[in-house]
Amino acid sequence: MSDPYQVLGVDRNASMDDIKKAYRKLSRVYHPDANINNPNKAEAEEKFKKVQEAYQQIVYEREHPYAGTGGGFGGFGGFGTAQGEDDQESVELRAAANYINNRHFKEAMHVLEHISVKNGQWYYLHALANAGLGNNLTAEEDVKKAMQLEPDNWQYRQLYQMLQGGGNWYEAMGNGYGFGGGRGVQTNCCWDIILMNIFCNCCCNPYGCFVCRPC
Amino acid sequence: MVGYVSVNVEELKIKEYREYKRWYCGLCRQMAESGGTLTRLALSYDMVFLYLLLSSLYDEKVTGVWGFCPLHPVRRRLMYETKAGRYVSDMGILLAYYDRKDDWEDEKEFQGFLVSAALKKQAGRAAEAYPEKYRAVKKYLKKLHTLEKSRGSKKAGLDLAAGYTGEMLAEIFVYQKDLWEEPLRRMGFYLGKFIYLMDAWEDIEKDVKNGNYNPFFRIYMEKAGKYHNYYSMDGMKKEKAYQEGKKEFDAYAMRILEKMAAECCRAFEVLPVVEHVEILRNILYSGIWAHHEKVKCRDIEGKKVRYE
Repeated sequence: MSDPYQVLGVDRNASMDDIKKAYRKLSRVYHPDANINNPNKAEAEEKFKKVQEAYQQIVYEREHPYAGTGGGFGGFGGFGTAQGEDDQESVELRAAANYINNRHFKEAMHVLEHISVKNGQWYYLHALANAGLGNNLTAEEDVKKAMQLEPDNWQYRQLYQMLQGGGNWYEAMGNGYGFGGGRGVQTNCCWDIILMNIFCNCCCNPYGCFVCRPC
Repeated sequence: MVGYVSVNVEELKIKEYREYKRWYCGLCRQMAESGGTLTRLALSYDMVFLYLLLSSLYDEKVTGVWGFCPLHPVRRRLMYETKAGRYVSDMGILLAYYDRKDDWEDEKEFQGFLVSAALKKQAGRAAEAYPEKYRAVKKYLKKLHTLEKSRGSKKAGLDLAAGYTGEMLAEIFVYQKDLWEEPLRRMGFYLGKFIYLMDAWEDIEKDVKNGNYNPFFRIYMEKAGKYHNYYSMDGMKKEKAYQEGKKEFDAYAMRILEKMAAECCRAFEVLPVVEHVEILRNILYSGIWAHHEKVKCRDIEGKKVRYE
């Protein structure tokens, strides 16, 4: 596959916003709707697909900097398969891990619910399945339990950090865009409220006018 | 549940603020066009956000329309209309109608009656136009309703209750089935969770007093609410302990809310949004907290405590 950065015509170190701009520019040129009367319609469509793929690839690479080394869910590698234990439990755990690797989180959850012995690995898999289903709070609880049971496991710690990291990432991003003060307590609340009210009325918010909720 | 996803006006440039207003008015106008002026009742900041997001993401052709607004009839104003506006206005109608209908049926809230009566016909039309979305809204509201009615079983954690709103909004956010379906769905999901939990956080004291369901109940009681039941404790001491506990609880809730916002923004940053990205980021990184700050200030001012 060709270099996605070349397809979009941007530098490897370009910021995400620049990449988005480049993508937008190219997708406007090659978009099927813009090429209805173009004699080389098929070619444009081909190019459009390439641009989309390149953009997606860049996004994926930047989101998963460790991907490609270990494969598996989020680049976490395998789940310590087969260590000579072939009892019912570990077979089931492996099945759950497989489901997670293939992003079938509901099925993984289902398998996990039927396992009665809950060890560190169980909690770890449960956390992964929960994270995949969007239950990010429960996932954090799970991985905490896994860490309590097996404090030395680096995999658990890595997942914990990943789940924890969201807040820091968000704050850093917000600060980067200049919204640092937005969430601290502002010096004069009254003004805020007054401004909010003026704002509401300005743009004819019906809630602000006759159904006063929650503004 | 309405109105958390607004801009932080103070952080906007005048230029951006004017743009935002045009989108706002544009959506309002499209709502009125689809079903008479009362349909405007379904307008909310959340839907304006979605409107701006979808129009910008799909690079839709924007038509500027000069028109009068019935609430501000003095001056003509510019309003932006796009194809996505029709979709978003229908979604707004669906959400507002079914949400308020429940309010009316359960709590006999008059506003609920007013809004649902005004939107009834339009909601039927919107449901016909988008049967999939209609089914999703109905399904998740029903599930949420059952959960709240049963006062939440012991097992029901924050994720479960918030997840229903999340999944509903996820469905609403998906405009077309294409490349951007997955990030949009993820965005809607976490934004929905954020909205639900923010609402719960804001209402916790009221809900505890009235015995209503609130997903934060257990944590709130653990951290702060228990002091209300310590009858032998000295009044001043109790109040102080409560304040401390409440602060702890707020910090806890804030952390959770931040997580939801973070996941939503992660999904947003995947999307190739170029136009109006400043306004959208203002909303996502700052505006969604404006209400939170307001509530916090209200609490503080009400108790005449100086915040340091």
